[in-house]
Amino acid sequence: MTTPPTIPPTTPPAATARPTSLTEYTVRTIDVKREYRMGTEVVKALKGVTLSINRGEYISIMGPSGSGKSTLFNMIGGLDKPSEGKVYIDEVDIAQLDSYELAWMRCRKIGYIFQTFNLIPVMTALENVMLPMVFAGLNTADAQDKARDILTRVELGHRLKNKPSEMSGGQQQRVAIARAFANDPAIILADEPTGNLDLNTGTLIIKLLRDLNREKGVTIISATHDHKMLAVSDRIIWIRDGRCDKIQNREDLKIEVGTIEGAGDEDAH
Amino acid sequence: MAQGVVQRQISLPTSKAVEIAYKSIRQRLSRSLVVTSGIVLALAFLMSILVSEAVIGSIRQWVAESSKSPQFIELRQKQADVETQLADRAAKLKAIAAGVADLPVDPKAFESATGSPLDKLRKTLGGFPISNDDMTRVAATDPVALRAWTDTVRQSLAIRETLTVPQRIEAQMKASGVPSTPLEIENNKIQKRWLVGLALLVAFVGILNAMLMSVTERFREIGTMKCLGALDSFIIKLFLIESLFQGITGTIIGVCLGLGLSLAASYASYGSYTFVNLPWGDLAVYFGICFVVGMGLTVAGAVYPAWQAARMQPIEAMRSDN
Repeated sequence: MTTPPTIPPTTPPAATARPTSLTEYTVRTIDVKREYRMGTEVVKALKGVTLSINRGEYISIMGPSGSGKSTLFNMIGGLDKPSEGKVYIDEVDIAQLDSYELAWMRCRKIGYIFQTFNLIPVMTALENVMLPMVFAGLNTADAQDKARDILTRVELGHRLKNKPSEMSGGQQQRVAIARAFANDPAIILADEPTGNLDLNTGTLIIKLLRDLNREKGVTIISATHDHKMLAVSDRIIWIRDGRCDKIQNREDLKIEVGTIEGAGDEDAH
Repeated sequence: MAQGVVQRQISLPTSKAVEIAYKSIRQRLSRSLVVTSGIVLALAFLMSILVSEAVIGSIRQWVAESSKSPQFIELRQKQADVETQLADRAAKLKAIAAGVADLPVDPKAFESATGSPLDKLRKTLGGFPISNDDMTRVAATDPVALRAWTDTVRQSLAIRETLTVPQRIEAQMKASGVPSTPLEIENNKIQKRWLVGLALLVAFVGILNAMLMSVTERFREIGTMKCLGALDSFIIKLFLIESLFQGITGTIIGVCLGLGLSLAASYASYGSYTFVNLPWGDLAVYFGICFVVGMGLTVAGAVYPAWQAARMQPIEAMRSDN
């Protein structure tokens, strides 16, 4: 049985040292709470989370099912508004934004990567990557060139005209990553990017994300169960029961084969 | 420069919406064909009812006014002249026959003079003024006079045929159940309107259903597009355009089908009299009405689904488990 390729830990960039000015933070949450009304019951998904994420950091948010990890993720990604508290993306309070501004923010500032890839099935890889550029107002010729470059960077230059149904899971996720980077966003939000991929493909995807993070200085925030992600993350935020349990830096992690200290009771993955 | 960007942000997404809508239809072609054929049938029904009503009405009008038309007056004049001439020529035949009463009857004489056997010609012309034997004798003696008489008879029959067309059409209409009294016409109209209304309703429900299915199936796609920066208006455009494609195609095919079928049916019953008074202007108006109805139906069926789609939150694009 071959052991999966391990990702060698790299030295963290200087950006993760204590920031000196507020503009170093891409995402800040202040005592964010989120409640859902389910019939007559009130479910408190988040009970007050305060955290700051620096520019260029690679963050993993981890936590068991029902811990509020997804809710927090949606907050940070501008997909949901808090019931209480504030969320600042690049020092802009997202609760104050109207639908146009939110759409603009999602188009230009944030790139999304999903567990289920979420490519438009009727469009080719090239057209999929071009789509966010179209929403940003880029003309077709420039969009095509840029899309081609990005797809070549993720090593899919030979698959431009293929539809998602003609590609493997790993290839689809790479197209999705290319699409997320289409408008040179400041933040990449990855929701379980390796969830639907096998071990080797998942490792490749994580390596690709890590490389792009270092290359472009883009902040990457991922919600994940995948422990392979931990080795490349600069910080890991553990969420439990709607609150931030602890935040670990990579140096503090002890990664042993099979187990990770501080994981607590996790779904076996 | 900024102007161009802003314009592109409006026009590019629209052309993209058209592209995506077209591709989505192609991907679900069988469902789109079902919806489109529903529209085709409903609009063919509407158009054929409008057209056949117009045609029947125009024929009825022509029948009513035929006796006053200049052609008919002229024809009646001619008929009078022809009848006079016929009487003269028949008298002449009698005179000739009387003169050759003793001549032996040559059976082949008639056919060689007129070109057709005696019994057959008797039937076609509706009878002879003198006996068959006398006719044969005249054929042998003075074939020219005989032929002059047969030609005049044919003329007289042709004129009578044309003059009685209105009555025959009226009789045909009554026999085939076409409403003639104002009350019958009114009742028939109301009945037909109900039927057409039902057909249109069925088509509308078909469109609504298909579009709702489309929206439900693509919740992830819609959520993703919103994450990529699509505005709500883009999502609405997407579904409206998809529905319009099917609507326009169905309407055009349906209207042409309805027009063709009802004209063909009229032609089968009334021949070229279908076109004798055909109100082409009215038909063009009906074309327009059906087009508007078809488009209206399509848009109405797409409004609610498109609104549902636009309301969808980007969160839907995320995993639904957990």
